[in-house]
Amino acid sequence: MIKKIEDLDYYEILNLTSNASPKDVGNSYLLAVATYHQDSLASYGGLIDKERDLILDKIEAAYQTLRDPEKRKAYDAQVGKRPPGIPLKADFRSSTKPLQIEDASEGKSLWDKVRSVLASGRRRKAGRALENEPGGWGRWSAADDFYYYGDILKKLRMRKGLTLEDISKKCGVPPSRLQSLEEEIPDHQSDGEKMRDVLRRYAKCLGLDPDNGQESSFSSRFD
Amino acid sequence: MSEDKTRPQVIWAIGGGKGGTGKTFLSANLAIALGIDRGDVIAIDADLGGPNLHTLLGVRENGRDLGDFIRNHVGRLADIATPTSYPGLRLIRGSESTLFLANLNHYKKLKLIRQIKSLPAKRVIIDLGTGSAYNTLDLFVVARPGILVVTPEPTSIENTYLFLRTCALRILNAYARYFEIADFGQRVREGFESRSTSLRSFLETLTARDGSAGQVLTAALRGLKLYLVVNKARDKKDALLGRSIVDLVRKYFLINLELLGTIPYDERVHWSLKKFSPFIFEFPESAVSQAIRAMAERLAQEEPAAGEEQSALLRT
Repeated sequence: MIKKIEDLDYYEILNLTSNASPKDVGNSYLLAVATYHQDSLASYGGLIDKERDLILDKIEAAYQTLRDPEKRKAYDAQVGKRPPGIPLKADFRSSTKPLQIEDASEGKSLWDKVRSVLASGRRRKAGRALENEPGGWGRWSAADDFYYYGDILKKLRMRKGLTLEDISKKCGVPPSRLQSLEEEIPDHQSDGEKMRDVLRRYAKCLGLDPDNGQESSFSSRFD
Repeated sequence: MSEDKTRPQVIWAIGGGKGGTGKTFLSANLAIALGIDRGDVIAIDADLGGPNLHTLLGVRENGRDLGDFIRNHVGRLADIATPTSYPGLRLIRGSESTLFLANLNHYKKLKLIRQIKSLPAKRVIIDLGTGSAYNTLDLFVVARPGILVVTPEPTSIENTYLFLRTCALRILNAYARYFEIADFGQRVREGFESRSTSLRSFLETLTARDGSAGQVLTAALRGLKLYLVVNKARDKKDALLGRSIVDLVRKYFLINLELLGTIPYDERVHWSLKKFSPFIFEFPESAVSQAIRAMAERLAQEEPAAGEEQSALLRT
């Protein structure tokens, strides 16, 4: 049975496993916003506006819950997430082998054909789960090469309906510097440490947690 | 040698909706890398509009081509597979005849597909042309897995989604015919062809009305395994693009897409084309060549075990 997008749990929305670290949550959130934002290159021509709005709302809700340890614990209990260490069941991700329509002989009834194809998919579940494959979901959540790109922060700011002036007032950085940061224009007047500080303040104003386990990727942006 | 042992263990098709994304470039270099590493590869130039795989492989001599096979001048497709100057690699040239497209009717296409599936080589790579025409799609679907090539440009991405929609619809139609799902064509016209809904929403609606039909069609899509290659990536953001497309396709197209790799942009590609020399030979230590070799290695590792045959949705 197909789950509706609105019925996907927060881990599925952000492509996370139940033992995802705070860093994984933050990175997946940024990537999800970058994927589904209205100016996103990745979703150009792939979504209609209604679907885009729905999933962006889900992404925001997922992040606001999973970033907070208490909310996350309560959510896990509510949806019955397994504790870390126990692999997730994922029928879809493990049934990667092609269906073999010829498994059902022509002489069988329609229901026999349906059963044979569905059962055929289950028989092949023994294959490796995609989560463990190179380039699969597991690699996503473990990725440590995700940086705070300016245009991703810009998309996030726009999604939240904030102007550069709004952010400037909140974090005390001139709008022009924030814009340079969004456009990723090198600021020759500031050293790496200063830029890191500006980026950190900007990220915090957007509700991100740059100090929560994301130090390495955050810092490497300026190394 | 028995017939089963001579059949291809794996058929890869390299396609995508947009021209100029580097499908032929990837086909040529991947074929060379697999030929060197594993051997016994046949590359087929199935660009039905403008074949030039032979140019990228540095083959200048004219010889028999797909057109000769389609026009029955040659009995077996295997007979027009000619050796190249690269170890372990043979080439089936595309046809430059303007009549070729017109001649590829349904039955000739099925004959071509049957013969591809019985080629005497362990590995077959099909280089497909641009666009979402049914002939191209059917050759793409025959392969397991198909490899989509996209560049970080809106036009390329838009055409990729169009290609996937058309491809998915082709598969759903085949299953709907086989399972005798009533009014499927009408439901498609009402709910999907207008592009006002995603494939996922369409199948959600269909499942709500007819649970068994919805399950069969969803299983059909989920059985389709595809790879994505992002070509001409200029920075790490372009590399992240591949992950984003994979996520969207899995969520909204219900297709099992995986990121095979990202190839960085390199100006020297143009230079190698002008020199009629495969890039992977000219610049073996470049990031581009390393990315292609890594893809070849991964594809080779995921080849089905001996005796395990590939399957195709569109049976011939």
